[in-house]
Amino acid sequence: MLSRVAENIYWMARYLERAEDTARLINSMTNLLLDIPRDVEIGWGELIKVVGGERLFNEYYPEKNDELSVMRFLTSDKRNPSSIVACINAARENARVTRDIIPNEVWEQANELFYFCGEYGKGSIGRRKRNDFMSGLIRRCQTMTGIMMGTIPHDDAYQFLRIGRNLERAEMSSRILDVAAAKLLSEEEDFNPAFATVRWINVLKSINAFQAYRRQGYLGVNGPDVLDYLLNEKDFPRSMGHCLEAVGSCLSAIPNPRVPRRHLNQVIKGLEELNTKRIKRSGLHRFIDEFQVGIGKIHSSLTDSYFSYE
Amino acid sequence: MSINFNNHYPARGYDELISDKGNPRRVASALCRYFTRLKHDELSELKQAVDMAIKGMGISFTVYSEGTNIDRSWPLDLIPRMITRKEWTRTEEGLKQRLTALNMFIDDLYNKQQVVKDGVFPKDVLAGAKNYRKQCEGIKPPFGVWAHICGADLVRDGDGTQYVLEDNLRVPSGVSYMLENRHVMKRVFPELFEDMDILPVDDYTTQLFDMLAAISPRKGEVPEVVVLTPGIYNSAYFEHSYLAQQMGAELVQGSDLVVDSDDCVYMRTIYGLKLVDVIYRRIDDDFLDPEEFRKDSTLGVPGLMRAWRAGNVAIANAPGAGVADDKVVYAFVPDLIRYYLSEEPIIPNVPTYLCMNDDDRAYVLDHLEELVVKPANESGGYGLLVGPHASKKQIRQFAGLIKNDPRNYIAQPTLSISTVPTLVDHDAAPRHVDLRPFTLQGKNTYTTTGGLSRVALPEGSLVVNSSQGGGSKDTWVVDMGDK
Repeated sequence: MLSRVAENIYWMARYLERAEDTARLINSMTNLLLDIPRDVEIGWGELIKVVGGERLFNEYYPEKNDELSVMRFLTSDKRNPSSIVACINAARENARVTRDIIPNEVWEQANELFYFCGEYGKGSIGRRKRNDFMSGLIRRCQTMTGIMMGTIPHDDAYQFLRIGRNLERAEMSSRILDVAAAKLLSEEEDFNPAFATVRWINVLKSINAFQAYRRQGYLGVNGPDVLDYLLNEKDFPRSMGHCLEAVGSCLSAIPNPRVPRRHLNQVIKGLEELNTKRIKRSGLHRFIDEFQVGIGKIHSSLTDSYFSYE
Repeated sequence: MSINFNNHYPARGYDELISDKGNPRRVASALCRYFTRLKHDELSELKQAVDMAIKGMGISFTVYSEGTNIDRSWPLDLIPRMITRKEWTRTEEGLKQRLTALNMFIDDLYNKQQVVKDGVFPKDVLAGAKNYRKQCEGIKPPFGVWAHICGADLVRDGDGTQYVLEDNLRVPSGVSYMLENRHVMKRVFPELFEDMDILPVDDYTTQLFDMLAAISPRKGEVPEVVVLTPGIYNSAYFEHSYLAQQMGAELVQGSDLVVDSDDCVYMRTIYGLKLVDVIYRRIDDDFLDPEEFRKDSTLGVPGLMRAWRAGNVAIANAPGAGVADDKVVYAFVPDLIRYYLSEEPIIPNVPTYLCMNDDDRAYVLDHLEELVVKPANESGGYGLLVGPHASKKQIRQFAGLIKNDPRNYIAQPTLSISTVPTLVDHDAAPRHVDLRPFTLQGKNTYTTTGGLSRVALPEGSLVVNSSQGGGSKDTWVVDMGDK
């Protein structure tokens, strides 16, 4: 497999996952706002922090923090390379340059996603049509993932696809935790406990983990348990631990994984050693920072080992 | 309201499906009956089904403007163009004959130049050939074949005679649309394919792969064949990826390839460097190798010509093959067929005046308002003068151009190109068409069954290019049971 094609497929998977996770995040935030007391202030700016877009946002929307600006920035603003529309565009462009590898159905679905975003993306900024758009988008992204899983031979291309998807998912999960949970941990004592529960449920829901978490048989929805579940539950496909384990199994199937494997193992070790029972806000934040740096190192080592072969 | 072939017929010129008395030709009678029986709604539904299939299958061509790709859906008309098998067999022979002679000619030019020594091909025409590449002299590619893939354009004049209009030996495109048109038509009109003996077209990509494999420098193993594309901004990118996918070949860009110190071509893979045997290139000579052609090319591969000359990689079409894609050379093709094959040409040339000859030039300058004037080395319909549609000013301008550089211009009579009924506002109206069959030559020679029919959609227009509002039709070669 060509190095360039491996890189394109990897990025196609990452962008697709990023678009989907951003839509999930927006959906859960919108839902949360309906549940909390009106005098509690939860800024939309949190979402900008989750996706790491403060610098760009402040540049294009100076002095703004309102819902519509944030939504426009996250959904349809092409100047933001991580907006949903920009991600779908990028995923499709990466699919376009690998059309000789990916099955036709995958390309057709990438097209369908692209047309869907073009038609409904801008109109989804207000609350009325937002849920339709986000749900439609999530469903289409899942369809594309499903088609890929069902049609691509389990060769190198498939491994790079899974690596891309799982690295992105692990990172997005960590970002969601970073903001949502860190704020909760710090303010827990002054909070109305019922409200804290609502927010923890929301954290679970934004990663689609609520149902699975309940089925697992935890007693209640509380911080340490939720954190533990989202960090380490190997059976849940959106937990950080699961995603990293998936990356590990992909590395076993491609040539020369020594360096990426070393970085991966370090990140997994950090995850397993974290004690969620006693963690404080600053500790979690520091941990997630390190986690993201670790993901970045895995990415760079993939680039060095496979994408820029000389 | 349904289709009524009497509304716009008989057509003014030659129509492929409807006779000059206004009746369907024998080959088209079942088809015309089918269309006239369709109700208004049924016709709308079929048209929608075609459009949806094209959008859904992602069949598009790319227009690059303002820094972004615009994908336009490929335009396909519902009514196919039809040809009898009997007629097609002869056309096929004519195309094979022509390509065989052209390849012998190119091989001769880069080696002995016997054709020049024998006085059949003038020395000064060769001297003015822009696409002659000195770098190719003395090379002997496998089977003596330089132009492996040829996409000649055929047109039919008002009296029914079919001509070769252009040979297109560089990087002809369109074959993927021919194949996809057929897929769509089979999806939408399955009953017609059941009732008629329509010959299949879909073995092209297999034939293409076999031809490419046969020219590999390394025998006895499955060769590594790659398709070299300029990238997604090229208007034919869809086709490049389509062909690579159908052949199971890697689609590569110049930056994916590297020529090592052993003068072999390698591609960069996740396993390291991998040897490449055959390159089906879809970029022009000029951009192929910055070491020998345009130095500013970022699309090509430095050292590629070196590897090719050393015989370590096959390139199709071979560098330098474009020398025969010159409209002045075109005028000599009938003579070349006689010279190399001792046969009469099966498909005639459009009569061509060479402005470099004094008599021809005098005639051309006197009759500019009746003629079509073409520059020798352009393709895609650029830089043309269509006399009957030109202004006085344009005619004066072309007279000047011809006097300044007579070698670079040819002129031909304005043909009355044939039409095919085409769906316009729920009715069938005559629109002008051409036909581009694809011929492959390696160890063997193969021609597609039919080809890509392109149609000029505005009434009276002769411009069939999709970038300028042209459409397309599926081409049905039908076995009528006669030999």
